[in-house]
Amino acid sequence: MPFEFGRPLGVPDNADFQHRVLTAALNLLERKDGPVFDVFNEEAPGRDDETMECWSCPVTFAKKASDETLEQLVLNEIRLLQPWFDKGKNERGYTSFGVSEMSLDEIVSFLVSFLEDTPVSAKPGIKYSIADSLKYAAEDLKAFHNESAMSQPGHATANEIENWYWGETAAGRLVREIKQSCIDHADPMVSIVTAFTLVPHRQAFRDG
Amino acid sequence: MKAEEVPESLVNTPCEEYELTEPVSGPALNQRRIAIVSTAGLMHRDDKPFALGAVDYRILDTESHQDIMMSHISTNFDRSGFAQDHNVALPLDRLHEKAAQGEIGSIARYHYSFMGATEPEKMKSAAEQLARNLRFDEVDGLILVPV
Repeated sequence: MPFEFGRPLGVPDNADFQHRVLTAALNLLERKDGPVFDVFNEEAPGRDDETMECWSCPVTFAKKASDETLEQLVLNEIRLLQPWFDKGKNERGYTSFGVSEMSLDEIVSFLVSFLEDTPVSAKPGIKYSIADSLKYAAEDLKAFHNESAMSQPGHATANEIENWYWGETAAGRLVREIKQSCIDHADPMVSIVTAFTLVPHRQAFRDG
Repeated sequence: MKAEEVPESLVNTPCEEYELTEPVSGPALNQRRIAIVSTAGLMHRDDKPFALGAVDYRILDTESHQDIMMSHISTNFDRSGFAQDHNVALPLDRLHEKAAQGEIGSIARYHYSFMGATEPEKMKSAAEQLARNLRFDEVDGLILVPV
C-alpha cells in the first residue's frame, strides 16, 4: 500500500477511500488460489487543496528569555497550546493522551529529571518501570502537541506536524536532549529506550 | 509505505520459514463474521500499555472503542492520523457501515491488537490463544491491519 507509515487505511477522515482499501482486503478472503500477494496501487489522497500553502502553527511561542529554563519553555508552550488541545478533544470526543497516567506537569518534571545530574530512580507516582515511563511520558507529550496542531486551521499533514514538533517546539527539543544525554544511562533499559524509541530516525539529522 | 521504500536492512532480515498452507474456503463475504487484528499497539485506556518486547495482545471491545489508545514502542510511524480518526488504523466504523450495507455478514464482538516489533515465534502462544477466542466468537473472516 503506498500510504504513509502508520496509516494502513490510507488517510484519516476519508470514509470513501478507507472503504476502497477495506473492500480490497476483504475481497482477498474469497480468493481460492494462494498464497496471495496483492498490491493496492491507489495513492492516498492529499490535502483537498494542493495549492494551499504549507501549514504553520499559528501559536507564536515567546522567545527564550536569558534566564528561562527548558522546563519553563515547555510549560509555557503547553499553556499556549492547551486551548487547541481542548478544542480537538471536545470535537473528536477522545484523545490519545494519557498512556503514562501522568498529568502534563508531572510529565514535564519527570522528563526534565533525565537531564539533571542526579540519576533518575524510582519516583513517587510513577506506575511503570523508569524506562517504560520515559517512553510513555515522551509519547504523551508528543500526543498533546500533535493533537493541538491538528486542531488548528490549515489541515497539517503528518510530515508538517512531525517537522514542527521536532524542529520548532521546546517539547521536541527536550526529548531530543534526553536522547543525547541518556545513551549511557545507568539503567540499560533506559539506554535502549532513549537510543531507539524516542526520536524518529527521520529526525536524527537535527542533532548531527 | 511503498515496497521500494522498505529499508534494505529490513528486506534482508532473516524470517522464519513456514510450510505453505492451502487456502481454506468459507461462506460468501456477505455471510462472514469479521474481526480485526492490529499490530498498532492498541489498548483501552484502562489496559496496561505495551512495553519493549511485549508478545501479548489487548482485547478491543466493539461496543466501547472511543477510549482506544496507541502505546506502540516505535516512534517511527505517524500517530497523528490515528489520533484524528481511529479508522485509519482500526476501521471499525467502516466495518459497521459494510455490515449495514450487507457487504459483510456481521462484526465480531471483540477485536485484538498486538504490538509486533518482536520475533513472530515469540508471539505464537498468544496467537494460538487468540485463535481460540476468534473461534468462540464464531469469526470466519479476519482482517490483519499492520502499521
